[in-house]
Amino acid sequence: MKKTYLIFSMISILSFTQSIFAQNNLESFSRLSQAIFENLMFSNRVVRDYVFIISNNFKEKSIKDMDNTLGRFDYNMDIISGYLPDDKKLKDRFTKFRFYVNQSRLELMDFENPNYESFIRNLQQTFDENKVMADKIFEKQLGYKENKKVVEKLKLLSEVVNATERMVIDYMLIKDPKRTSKAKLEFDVKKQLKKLNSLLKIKNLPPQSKALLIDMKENLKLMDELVEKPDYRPKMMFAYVNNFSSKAFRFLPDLISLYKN
Amino acid sequence: MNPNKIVLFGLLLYFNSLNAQFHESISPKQLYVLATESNVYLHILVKDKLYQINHIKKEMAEKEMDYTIALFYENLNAIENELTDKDLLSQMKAIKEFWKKFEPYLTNDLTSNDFKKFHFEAYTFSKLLTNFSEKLFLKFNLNEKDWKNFNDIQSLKILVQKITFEYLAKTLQLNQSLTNQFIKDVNNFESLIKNKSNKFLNDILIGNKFLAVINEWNFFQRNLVHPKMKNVKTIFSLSLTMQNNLNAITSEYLKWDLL
Repeated sequence: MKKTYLIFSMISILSFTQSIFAQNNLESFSRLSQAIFENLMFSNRVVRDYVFIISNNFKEKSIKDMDNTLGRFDYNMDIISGYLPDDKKLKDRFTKFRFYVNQSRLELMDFENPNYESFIRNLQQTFDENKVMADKIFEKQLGYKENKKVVEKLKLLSEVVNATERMVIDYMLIKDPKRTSKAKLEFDVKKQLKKLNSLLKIKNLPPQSKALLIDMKENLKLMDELVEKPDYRPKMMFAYVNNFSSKAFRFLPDLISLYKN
Repeated sequence: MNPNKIVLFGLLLYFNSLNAQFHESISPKQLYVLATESNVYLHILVKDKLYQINHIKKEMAEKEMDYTIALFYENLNAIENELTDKDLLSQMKAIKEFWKKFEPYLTNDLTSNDFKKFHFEAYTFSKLLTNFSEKLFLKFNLNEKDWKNFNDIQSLKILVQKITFEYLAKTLQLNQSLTNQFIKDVNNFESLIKNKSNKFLNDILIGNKFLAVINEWNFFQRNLVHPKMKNVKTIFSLSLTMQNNLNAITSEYLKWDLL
């Protein structure tokens, strides 16, 4: 009887400990995901803030947003650094990336830079590195295989956000009659809407999350209409992209909560 | 247990306890300010549209309209993002739906018949926004006594826009009811300023700013007496100055957290 009781107790303790570890792994993976995807979605946001600042549209709001974004970016980088796999090359890459971002900060404060366009394009390239690293960091994590499908959906979300932010940056550089950018304004709204539709199809999505996605879709269409119009309306574009981005950031934790052990 | 994992677990607990949210949350007070400000924006838009379609101060009106549309949209979404109450959320949904119907009036060219419809829609929209602000006020248990002065300033802001709009409508002889409303609103502004002047002028923080409003109003009022086409442009410019002076008082309230 005593033996049975002992074995039963050991089994219960073991399963309890296992469930705690599984829970910790899930929380840990969720925390990393939040940090990585937030930073991916920040990549072009900082640049967008810069463009609005130099064009004197919602300057104060954009300066504040850039400050908040960079602060949060750093906070996320600290989290990510705790999860780096034991891979020297990747660690070096991460350190270099962080160094470049920090170096760009000084230039981000220079709102009179005559070479703003090349600075913007370089900065966008620097931030692209973020995406490559994210994949490499993710692959080695506990919980990645089990939640690969959700991670793919998270990637979709960050792609839509980045494509939209990029379009807004181009809109500000190309449509502004005072500027002489030779870049082309290309935005495949259908492609982005398709991605949002694919997110809408996720099962078990609560109604409030669906409402966020629907709002994002409407915003995307409004932005596309604005791009098609001949007149240049930077302030309206600011309002649209700001709403779009804030809805995306609200949707992110909803998506992460779909992770399973 | 791997020491790295222990550190990671500790970090995890630490970050969880921080529960950092990226977006800055807005206090109930700020939400109410945004809601009442949206109603002011609506009246600015109505005024600007009439000036735009009649080619009076067109460029300035368009500029102000563009900026105000963006601010209006920003406000609605900022409020929506903070709401958790189902009733308020559904009201906000209705406001956003109304906005979708309303915005094309602002960006498209309007005939005089379209303008009548637009003006009627604006009236309904304003009621909707007022109702929403009142619900927020009740929901957040804001103290009526504390907010009395702020609400008076918001009323003055709306009256400035209405008077500027109605002055042009009267000059263009659009309809008699707007002319009657014009007289009413001028009297309302006048009595509000008279009743409040002692209280506001004795306030160390906003006294000087309110004095600027009174001085501006005296000048504004002199120009309102005779509706002449040449006066319309002056009225438009004066309304901008009045608006700025009143905005400075609102900022002061927010800066010193007087609410």
